[in-house]
Amino acid sequence: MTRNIVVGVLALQGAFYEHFKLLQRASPEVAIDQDGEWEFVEVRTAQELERCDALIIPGGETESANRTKKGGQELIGGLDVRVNRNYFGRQTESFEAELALSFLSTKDGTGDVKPFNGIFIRAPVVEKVLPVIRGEPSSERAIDETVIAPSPSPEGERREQFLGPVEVMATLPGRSRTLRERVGAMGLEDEAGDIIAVKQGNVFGTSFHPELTEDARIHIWWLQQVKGMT
Amino acid sequence: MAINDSSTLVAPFASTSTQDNTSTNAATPTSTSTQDDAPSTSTNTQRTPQNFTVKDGLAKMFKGGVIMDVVNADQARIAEEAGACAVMALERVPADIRAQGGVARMSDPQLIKEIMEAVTIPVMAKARIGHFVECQILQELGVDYIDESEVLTPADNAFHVEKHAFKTPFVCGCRNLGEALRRIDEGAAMIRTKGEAGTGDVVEAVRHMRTVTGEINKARGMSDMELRGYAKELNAPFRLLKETAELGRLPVVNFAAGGVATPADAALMMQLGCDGVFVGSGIFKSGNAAKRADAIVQAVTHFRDPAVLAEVSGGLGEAMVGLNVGRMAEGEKMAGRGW
Repeated sequence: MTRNIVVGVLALQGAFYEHFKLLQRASPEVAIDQDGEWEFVEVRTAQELERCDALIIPGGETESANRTKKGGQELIGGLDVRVNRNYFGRQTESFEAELALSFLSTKDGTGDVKPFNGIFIRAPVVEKVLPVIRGEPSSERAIDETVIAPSPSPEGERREQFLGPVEVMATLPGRSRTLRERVGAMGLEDEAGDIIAVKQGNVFGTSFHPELTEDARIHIWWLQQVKGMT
Repeated sequence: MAINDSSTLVAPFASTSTQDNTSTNAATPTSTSTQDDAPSTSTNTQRTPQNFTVKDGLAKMFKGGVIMDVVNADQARIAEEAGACAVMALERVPADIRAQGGVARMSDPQLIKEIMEAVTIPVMAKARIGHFVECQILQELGVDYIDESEVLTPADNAFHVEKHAFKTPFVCGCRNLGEALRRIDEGAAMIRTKGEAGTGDVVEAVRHMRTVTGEINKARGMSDMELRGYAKELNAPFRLLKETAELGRLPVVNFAAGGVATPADAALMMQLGCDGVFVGSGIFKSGNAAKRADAIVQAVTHFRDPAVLAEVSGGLGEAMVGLNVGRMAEGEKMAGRGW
């Protein structure tokens, strides 16, 4: 039976149009079986969300709409990680860096992957990958100024497919000395580079903005993941 | 594929990717000022801190959002809780600047710091037109955006600040396309209509947005030769005018400002094609600030949904009193400041 795959882009705030544009460019590269089509929709209401097989939540100050600040706000959760918000600092510390993203490698694994232009704007990093648990990660409670978001809680028959450990998909090597000093004081636990992309089950997150580039490779890769899980 | 053709949607401005000429990335890169200012020579390192991509990028994060004037930490928290995408730190909102008169300057750095500490969303602050030292101070404080603003008393009657030189991005006001493009040429990464600040009368914001849109529409489809003539007429740089004509919109994010007082005003500006809204005196000069702030955020998100607009517009208490711009003397208007 022919069925479209519906991909929503949360269109409350931020660069949602830029995501649309890259999805449109990416979709011809990811054919759907049985003549189905990709369908991309703006999501502003629960009814619109209901239709979606997959969702992009644009980053950036969209977070403000989710009231993520410490003290009684709602967080989306969905990844077992500890995130340090605005880790690199304020806007004057925003930067671009060329990233080696091995998950974008070609199917046969040959050839170097061209670097991806990572645009980091008041960006967060994943400070620590947490063990997979059910419910609230209580060990994190004790850390000052830490806000706890729900762990992944997939439902339905494909539940097991969506549960699993957090995979680190990309890191940013070469942390600057000033950052190391500042972060060191906060108890950084991993010197292997800053974690800037993670995947857990059916959730993928980056701390940079692929939608602000003209490079559709991450969107192509992501649509392939969506196709594989739909 | 169903893509809503929204007038608020934006074409990309500054793509500096130089390494993605593969078949999957066949789009034509737009010519940008970034390439002029920041040669993409670096590998694996930070590019020039003045890089336009991250300045324009932060403005794109604001799209569909509301930026609220606040005068203290408590107001900043109310704004953040209501879902503002940024706050503008000020000593006096424009309505009070109007009422009290005198010279209006950059706010006390101590106040700006307190507001920066109170919230996690970006904090903007205003500098006087042409006062590049106030801008240097604001950059040193670490504010996320500088508004070179006609709401303050101008410090230079001929020149605006050279904004490309700063790491901190700038937003500037405009009344028409020529003014917008001159500011972008100087380095502004975001534009707002001037409107008439501190009045609660949306008529000037509407006039300025309609003027910009009308002039862009006129430029579309012009030949290069015609555009050169039109650039002279508008007193705008040809290169930016051509880019604007191709995009069919300003090449940077464009917000409404100056007179927005109600959820309906905010949605009106969005339907006229703005990317988001600044609300100055409209929120904290009204009866129930928290509720009005929340309502205006909802109205900007759901600007094409009259059911939501009807719901959030109800029971907000008194709106700010307001001044009728039509009855004001020319000398009382702020929008005329700037060159």
